[in-house]
Amino acid sequence: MTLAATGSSGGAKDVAQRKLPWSQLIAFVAIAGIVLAGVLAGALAGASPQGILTNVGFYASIAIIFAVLALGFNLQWGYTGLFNAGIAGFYLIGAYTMAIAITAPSPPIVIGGIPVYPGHLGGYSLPLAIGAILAMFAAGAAAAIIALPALRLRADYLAIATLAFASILQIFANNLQSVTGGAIGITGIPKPIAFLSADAPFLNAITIVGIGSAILLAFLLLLQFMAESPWGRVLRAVREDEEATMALGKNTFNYKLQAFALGGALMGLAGALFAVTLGYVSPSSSFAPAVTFSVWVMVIVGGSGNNRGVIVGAFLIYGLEWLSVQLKDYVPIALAAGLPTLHLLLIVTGFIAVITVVLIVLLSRYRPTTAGGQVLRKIQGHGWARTGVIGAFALYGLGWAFVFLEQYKPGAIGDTIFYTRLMLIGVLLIILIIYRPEGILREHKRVLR
Amino acid sequence: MASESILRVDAVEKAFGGIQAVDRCSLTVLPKSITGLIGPNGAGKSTLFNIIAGLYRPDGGEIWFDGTRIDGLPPYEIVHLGLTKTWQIPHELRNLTVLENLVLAAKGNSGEHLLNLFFRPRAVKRDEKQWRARAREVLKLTQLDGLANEHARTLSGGQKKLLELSRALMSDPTLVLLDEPVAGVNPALTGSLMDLIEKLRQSGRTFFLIEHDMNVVMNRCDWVIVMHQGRRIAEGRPEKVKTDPVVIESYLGG
Amino acid sequence: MAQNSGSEPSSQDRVRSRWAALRPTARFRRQLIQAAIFAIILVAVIGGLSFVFGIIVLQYAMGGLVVSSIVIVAAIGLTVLYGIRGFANFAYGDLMTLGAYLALLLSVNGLSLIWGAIVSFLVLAVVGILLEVVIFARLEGRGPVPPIVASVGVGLIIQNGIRSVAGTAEWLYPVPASQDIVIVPGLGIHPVRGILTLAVGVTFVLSAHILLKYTNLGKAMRATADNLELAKATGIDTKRVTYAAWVMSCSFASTAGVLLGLGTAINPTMGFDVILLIFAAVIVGGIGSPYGAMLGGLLVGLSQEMSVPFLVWLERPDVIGLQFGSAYKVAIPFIILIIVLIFRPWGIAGRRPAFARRSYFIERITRALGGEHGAVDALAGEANGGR
Repeated sequence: MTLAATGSSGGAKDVAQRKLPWSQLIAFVAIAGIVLAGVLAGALAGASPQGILTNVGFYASIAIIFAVLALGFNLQWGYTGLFNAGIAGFYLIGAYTMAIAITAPSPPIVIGGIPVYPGHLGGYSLPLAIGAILAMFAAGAAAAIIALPALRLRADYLAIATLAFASILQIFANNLQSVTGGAIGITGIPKPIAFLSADAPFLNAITIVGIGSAILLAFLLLLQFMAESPWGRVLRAVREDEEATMALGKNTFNYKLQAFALGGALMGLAGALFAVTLGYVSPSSSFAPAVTFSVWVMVIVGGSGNNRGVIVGAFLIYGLEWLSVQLKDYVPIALAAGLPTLHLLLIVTGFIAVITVVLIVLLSRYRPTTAGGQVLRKIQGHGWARTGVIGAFALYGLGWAFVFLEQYKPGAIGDTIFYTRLMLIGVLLIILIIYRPEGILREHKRVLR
Repeated sequence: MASESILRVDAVEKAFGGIQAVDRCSLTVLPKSITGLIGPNGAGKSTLFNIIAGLYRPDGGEIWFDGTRIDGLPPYEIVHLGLTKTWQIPHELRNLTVLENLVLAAKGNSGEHLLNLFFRPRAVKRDEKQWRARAREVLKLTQLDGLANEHARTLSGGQKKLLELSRALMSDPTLVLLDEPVAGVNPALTGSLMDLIEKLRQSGRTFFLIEHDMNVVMNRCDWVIVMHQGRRIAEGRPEKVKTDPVVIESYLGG
Repeated sequence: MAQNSGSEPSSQDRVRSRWAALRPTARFRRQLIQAAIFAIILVAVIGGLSFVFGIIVLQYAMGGLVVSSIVIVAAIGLTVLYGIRGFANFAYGDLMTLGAYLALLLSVNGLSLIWGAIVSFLVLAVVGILLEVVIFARLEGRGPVPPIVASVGVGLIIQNGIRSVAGTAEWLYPVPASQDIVIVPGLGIHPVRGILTLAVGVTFVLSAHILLKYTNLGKAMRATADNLELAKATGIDTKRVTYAAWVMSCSFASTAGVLLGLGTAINPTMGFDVILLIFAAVIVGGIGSPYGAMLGGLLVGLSQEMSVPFLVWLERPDVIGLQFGSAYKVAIPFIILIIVLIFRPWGIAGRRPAFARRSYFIERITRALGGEHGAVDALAGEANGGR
């Protein structure tokens, strides 16, 4: 069975299946579209090609980090039914552990009697790999400790307890100044390869993407192996009906504990990757509950229990966030410079679209047997294809609205798009949970032979 | 007398929010028997089964199984000691296949322990193959083998009951508590199931079953215990119990 | 020995047992006594502390009472919805924020704050009904998790909608600045932040009490929160009760939001920042019980504020040298919450659920610690995760 590519564009058709997996195709096309749009925005604003590529590299890195978070949450919720609302907490533990382990020591800085930087614990300058392992261990241990009292709680109580846990951690990170560096945090986290040239950001981004992809792939394979195993089967049984599973002779608490701790360890790993990618950690919005909620969306979109799906979900949802930042940064400039170009683009695309539609309709009426003629029927038949087409048209209309808005009220888009994307996540959550809680990308039908 | 019984319930009581479901109930079950437990609705039969199986903790009393005291033990330990229970309303694992449902009932499948997956992969493969084969055997006995790869939620009510029974047999138990095992199952299959139970009894197992189907109780049980309002009110051979005025009174009045 | 020794259940016993679950009166009396004892202990503790440490304790207690008032109003709204609709509304904080902003909008445009608060109250009531109709009615019977996820979505929409419309800057209500009124030297109370908040808090608590105890709707609400199936079976219109719960919940949220805005500043995350505090009050007090919410709110608010002197003491280098001790005060209610969740998840005013599943781990701990039968049963997993 082929594995989905985790790159930012391109797709992988599942050779084993006879039908086209429409939903996966559309997801990949959407991701490609997002990246393209971001690149376009940058290009129109006059950014250098290297800057754009670094940007895309950043997207890939953070998307990979979210993918690891999503895999961890998928193990806890998708397989075992444990609803963790404190993902950000384990993420934070991993990030800070990594930072403490691998940075050089930095004593407090006092300028003129005023403590400017409170210093932080550690600075052991350990190699990155050891730091990552420590991060996983710390987060996993924290998860295990929390699990002992919390796992027997009903789902909503568990959510509240884990949310409280994550909030307490944020408070500690902010205030335990000599340990965590307070509000400033820990800076100067070494990158995997130290470059001195001007290409440094770009090369670092590529390195991180490379290492991150390798880690992601490795853990995906590992998780798939564990999920398909008898152990994973018990987890699924626990999610279905814990009491029945107990009556079958399983110590369900142990299984829940293991799943929760392992999921926590994965979240810690994501935190470690984050520390290295960003180069610093601080108790800011990077560890806010919004992170937890974003991961929820990613897993719900991808289909809970579907490891490959949640990775795609992560790339998709974070893609939206990244795109919104790109647009916020570049749109004012781009539009000022490239408004006529955009206009032209939209007109040309619209023209092409109209001609394509006319062709398809004509073909399906007069030459229904050709491949081209079949397309219309396929679109009408598949809900997904219909949604895709409608989505494309909606995007097109949105593009026009965009252009007009920016023309008559410059700067409006830039400010609000940041928050509209969060509202979009909220709307997505609601719509998905009502109409399609099993996710958009289907879980493979598991059959034991 | 105590050493003869395979299950001894000793003055067990359990209350739920002001209602005394089991009221100082005492009874014994002899080994290698098919014992029936009957009584009007609400008598506390299913609750007692749940208590014996470890799902509820009794407020008082003791429960002894095969010489070991089991009240207070968690369900998985009780299963390991050789006592399994089926559910009155089938608790099938809906989104798993029938075969998976059964294999989960296995005892000692090394693949279910995380470390074994990595350190003893051959044992894992071996156990898994062995248990799948055994599951197929059990499914053949209960005539469900054609549905092995269907998801459990697609089964009919009677088939789910059969699934319950199959699962209970998987772990090779000494004592099986059956909570209405043939409710909703067609008479022909009921007959062959009870034949199967009889055969299993002859190979050394004990069956303790709650049933409302009086045919089954009368024709298949060696011994019948009657519960009413949380206590045992009568017991004896089926024919005797059927004509016991106390029992009749409880059914009419309850 | 095999004879039946129990008597036939009389029809009276049967009726009584059927109504056993819907039994407010006797339990009320017990709870009232418990509340009175609690209040006496509280006053004694505060009195004792202030006797030992000086009047500053009373000042902190006063601050705690003010915080408690806000928390209590919010917690009553949250617990009513939690008890009747059965889910944890994670959008509650953002509903509070919405209420505060609506009042701000009106008061900035000329209306006095009082009118702003009233209009906000009414608007949020409508919002509540809309939420039920559009979203939450479709999620009935799907288990505890889907409504939580949906409420998170609602919260995100509200919070970020406010951000995109009103910006992220902090606002203040246009009330005239005033000084603390000094009661005794060392103990002062602010007329707006202190007295008004306390007054509004008490008013709302009393209104809730009257509504729930003396009106038919209130009785129906209590019955539904107690036992939904039984309420439906006895002919209560649970649809109406649900709408009433949403109205009450959101309106109380708006008022709590306005009070919070008076006490602190108004910013888009003001409600979300305190939501865990409100949850703590609700859970500590017992889900579904407004009286529990009052006790919980009192406990949570007082403990948060009165922990400050203790935390400041911890800052001293000869103790632990904890930095920024007073910033940890917000962690105190969370710690109480976690302790309650471990040992008594149904809260002060809640009842141990009848069909509780066992927690073998906690049982082993209690057995190891010497208690034989003191095992605390786990909270029932009535709906497993994804069902």
